[in-house]
Amino acid sequence: MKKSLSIIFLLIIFSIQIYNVIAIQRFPKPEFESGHTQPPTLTPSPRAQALDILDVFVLAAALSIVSWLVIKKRSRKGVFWMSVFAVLYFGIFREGCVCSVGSLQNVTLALFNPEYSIPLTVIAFFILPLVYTLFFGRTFCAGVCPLGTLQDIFALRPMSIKSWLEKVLGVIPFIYLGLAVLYAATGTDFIVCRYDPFVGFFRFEGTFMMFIIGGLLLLIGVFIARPYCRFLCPYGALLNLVSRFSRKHITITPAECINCKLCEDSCPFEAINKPVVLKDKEEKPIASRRFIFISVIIPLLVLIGGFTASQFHENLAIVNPKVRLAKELINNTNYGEPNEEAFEITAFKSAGQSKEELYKEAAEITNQFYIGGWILGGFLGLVFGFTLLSLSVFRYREDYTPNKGTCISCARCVDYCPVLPEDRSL
Amino acid sequence: MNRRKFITTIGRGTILSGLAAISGILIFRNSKEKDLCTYDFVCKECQRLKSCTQPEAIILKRKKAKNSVSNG
Amino acid sequence: MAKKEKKKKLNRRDFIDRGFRFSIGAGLVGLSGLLAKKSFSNEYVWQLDPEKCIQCGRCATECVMTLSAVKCFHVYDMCGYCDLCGGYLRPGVKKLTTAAENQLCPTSAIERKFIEEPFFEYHIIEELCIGCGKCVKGCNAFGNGSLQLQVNHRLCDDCNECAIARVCPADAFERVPADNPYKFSGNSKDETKKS
Repeated sequence: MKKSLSIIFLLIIFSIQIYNVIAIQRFPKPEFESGHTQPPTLTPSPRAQALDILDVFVLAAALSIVSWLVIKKRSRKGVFWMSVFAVLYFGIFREGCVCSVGSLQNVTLALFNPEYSIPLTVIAFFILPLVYTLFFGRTFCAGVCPLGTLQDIFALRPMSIKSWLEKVLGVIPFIYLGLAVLYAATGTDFIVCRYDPFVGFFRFEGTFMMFIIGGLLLLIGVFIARPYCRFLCPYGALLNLVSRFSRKHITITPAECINCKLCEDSCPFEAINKPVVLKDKEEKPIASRRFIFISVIIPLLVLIGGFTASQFHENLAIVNPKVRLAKELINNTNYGEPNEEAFEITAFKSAGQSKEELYKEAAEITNQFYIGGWILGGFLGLVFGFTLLSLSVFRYREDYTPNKGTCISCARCVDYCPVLPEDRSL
Repeated sequence: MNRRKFITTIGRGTILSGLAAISGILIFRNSKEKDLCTYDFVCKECQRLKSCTQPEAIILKRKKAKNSVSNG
Repeated sequence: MAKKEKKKKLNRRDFIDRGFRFSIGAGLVGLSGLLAKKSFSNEYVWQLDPEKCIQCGRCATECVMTLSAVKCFHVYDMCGYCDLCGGYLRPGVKKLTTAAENQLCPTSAIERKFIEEPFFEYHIIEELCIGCGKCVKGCNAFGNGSLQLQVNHRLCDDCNECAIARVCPADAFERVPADNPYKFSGNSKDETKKS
């Protein structure tokens, strides 16, 4: 009798260990005779929501001020102090989160997964800079984005790099953008937030890797200005596209360009289009033949890109924790841990989901990655194609003008222009 | 040069309307659910459940999905 | 006269441009109005569901804060005030004393206080708690499960994507409405008070 009882007791303990049933009132709540009152469980409140609204207003105000400084006042000094403000407020005070760069993933997730309820602050952080860019150029990058302005302050000895290298590296943000959208849309991960190199500097804490990568980027940034913005930032890629349609954009000269070449080396971002002398002009037949060749090759690139990326959909999908779990369960590999059961598998067992359900879910996600792979690859093919096109198309220019896509409106070039503004009273 | 300007204007208009559409959809989705979602038995099969983000609704949906798997 | 001439110069393209600008302005005003109206009821914060939690200990190491924002919370309402507390004492201790070698908590963040025979009250010293969940595991296994891991919102930075959520094996992290930011399991869900 005693033995069977103890076995039953053991079984109960065992089942508790496996299924992790919480909150069984094994011991009754005591009634105190000494008049002791039970203390309440303290639950500190989150950050006041009014502050979130303040953030949106500060964002709008900062965008307006920087746009005004860039377009009307043409003041590099003003932009510089605004960047200091941005690092202090959006960086250190707000601790860098949520930022516009990351918000693009929230918006993607909200569009693809109606269950995800996106905070309105995040929508504002995504939309406002885009709208301002559409009107005034990338003034957001110039003096509002804490990641960009932090690098801008560190850009002390900018060097020029080869323009073909600039173009080639300039494709990376689009790849990053595509991947970020793919992983956000499938609800897998927010990779932009995960690999944000600077947020640790704003919080004064973070992982060792984060500080190494962030520090390295800042160090490179001393010589090659704003490396993250130019060669990584996915939101910058979006703004690059949008800025090409901007209504007003910073001009190097306040009046007419006199081709004095003073501004030629002023841009640390290689974003000044130099005038093209007429005799450099290509012969027409060669140029048009190349143009036709590229117009044929773009759809081809889209198809090849889509096909290639879709072939790798399983490799892309393995990042998803559910797909990974399903794979580990099928292969019986236990996350490569030889001794103990991996936490993921323990958790799966205690959650009570059946394996078939998990496999079905994982298969669905993998299928999403297959479709996503086609779209991602097609998009990248398009980007490569247009990069080729922009390298080969000849465009006649008389004056020094900013490249509306890559110019981040920092207003450095403005200080170099000797031309005085036209007297408007005349 | 005029043609280019025209194209830019059109592009700008398209992007703006796209942005407006995105923010419109997201805000509309956000604002309507709060009041309309009830998880009584009445709403168990209703159309709105699909897009509802309230925690109770998500639990309900998970349960439904589970049932459909175990049944089918 | 000069003014009138200027007005006449307004051509179709200018007109379209101006129309665009006005509509955008109106849209922005509307948007901010909506924002102000809805923001109060629509913010979400990260929280973990103690019913899914398996106390793997990753909360202690994966949070972006160097001392994790996840802490152990004591839901006194569920506590049995046991002398032999599974969350406080190491399993198999010889003496029921508060000596450090007897304590389960690696940082001695649980304070044991005698109330009356045979009841003891346990307090969590928040500054010392690292959120490892060892006590939670013990309490779940041998007690009422009144010790529960929760995100402390005074400490949480509310990252866009929670670094712990990313690696949580039980998928226990989720966004909860900011006006009800704690998720205790068990019978005392509504009885906790805001501080």
